[in-house]
Amino acid sequence: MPLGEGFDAALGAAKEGADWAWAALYRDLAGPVTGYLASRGSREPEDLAAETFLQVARNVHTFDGDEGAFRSWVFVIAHRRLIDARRAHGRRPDLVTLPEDDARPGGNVEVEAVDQLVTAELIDAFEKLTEDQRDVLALRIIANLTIEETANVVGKRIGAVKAAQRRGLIALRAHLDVERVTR
Amino acid sequence: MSPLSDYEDEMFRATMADREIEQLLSGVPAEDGVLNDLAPFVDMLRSQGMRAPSDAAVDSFAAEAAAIVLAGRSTRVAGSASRSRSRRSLLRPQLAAVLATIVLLTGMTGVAVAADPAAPGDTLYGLDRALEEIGIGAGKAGERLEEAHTLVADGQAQLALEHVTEAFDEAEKEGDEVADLQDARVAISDAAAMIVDANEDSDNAAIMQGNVALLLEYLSNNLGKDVGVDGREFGQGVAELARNISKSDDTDEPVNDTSVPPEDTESDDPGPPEVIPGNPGGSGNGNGNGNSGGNGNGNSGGNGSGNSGGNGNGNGNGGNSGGNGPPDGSPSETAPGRGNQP
Repeated sequence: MPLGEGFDAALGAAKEGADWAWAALYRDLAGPVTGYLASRGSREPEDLAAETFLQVARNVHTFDGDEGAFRSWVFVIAHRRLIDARRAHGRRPDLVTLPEDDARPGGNVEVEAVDQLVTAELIDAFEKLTEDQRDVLALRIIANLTIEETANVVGKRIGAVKAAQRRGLIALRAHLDVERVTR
Repeated sequence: MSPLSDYEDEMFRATMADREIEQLLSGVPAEDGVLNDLAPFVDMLRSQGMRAPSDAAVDSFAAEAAAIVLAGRSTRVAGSASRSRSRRSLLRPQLAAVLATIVLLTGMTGVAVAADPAAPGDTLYGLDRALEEIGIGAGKAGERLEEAHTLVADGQAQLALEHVTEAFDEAEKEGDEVADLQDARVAISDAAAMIVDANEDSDNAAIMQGNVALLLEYLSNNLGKDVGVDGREFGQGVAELARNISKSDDTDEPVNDTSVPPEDTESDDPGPPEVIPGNPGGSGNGNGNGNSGGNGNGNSGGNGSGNSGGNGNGNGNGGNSGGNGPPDGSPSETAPGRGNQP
């Protein structure tokens, strides 16, 4: 839940080193940042999130902007951490998607019916998308970023982001159709 | 990939308006949306970010963050009068000075090289925006640049430079107009070679990192962009920045940021982009020789850094830096091997 009108005051206080402000910012963003990192295949999402927030604290004096910009900035840092971690594991983020990704969103998946679909199916379908598509959809949905903010984070044009989310959703729908048909 | 027939697939694309996507992603699907069966997916994905941190985690982080901020503030306050100022915070005035100088020297419009000084966040945030704007993110050159700035963020300036040279390769393969880059390539190779040994000195590494970030910003703003920057000017600009990276090799003097306000570049003695000066503590490398002819203003010792006299780069002026001559392309023989693998 965004801080809204309280954001400017919180940011100002955070720059002054106020505990309460950092607590408020962290409470708001820790869940989405960790969820984003987990959904994108991070093996240590909590560690990466912690590194992200410490970097935010170190660099906050360079930041100036509103809450949307701040949120976007935090995810820029998180995304870079993610790419660094992939690199460290020998994965190149610009290659085509890996067929299997055993780090699944949320880690422990409870398989239970959600209407006709089950969560496991959804996750399987998501894992079949390309890296770009998953980046964009996770940033749009989990991080709740706008198209423009998402484009900033992934370093792509707005048109490319729109295309990625559209293709991702089409592919997702196709995968889900297949799974229902072949069940 | 699609089990839908081509026809259905095409219809699906056509009817899937961006507006409906926005509604779906915001959690309020359109009444009759063809995407409604994806709503459970959106809900599932959204739930991944809903886990609230524990109170203990919040308190722990808040205390640590506050301590970091307070420590950083005191360092910066103290450093404003001496050398310990945060390197990162130097980049703003540095960047402005570089950009202003480039405009002066090349006659490029401000728009062409304008970083976004109002952009939130650190210097590299501007790079992100630049990458987005020039739209090379989709190509291999863009990927190399993107990796390069990640490496800079990580403090690995040399690897970043190697990625930059790869970006050049890719840009050429992709047919981008990147003409007259020989001089720039050589300068970048030199810079990469010269900072190999600088990494153990954290101060030097920070300066390198800042200078490499400036180079990347310039590249991102201009590579593949048709904004009236002709290839030669572009190459000269790149070479200039790359040489300044070399110059920051072996820096061991305090950096006084007040000496390089942007206004300085408007003096009647336009120096090269004001990058953090280096004091060559006997590095004695010869790479600078013959490389400084990128444009006439070159790397002459009198650029105000006050501690660059007598370094390898300064010597290069004897060669070919007179007037505003074009790069002569001669320095290739001094180029060290280009590392291509990270």
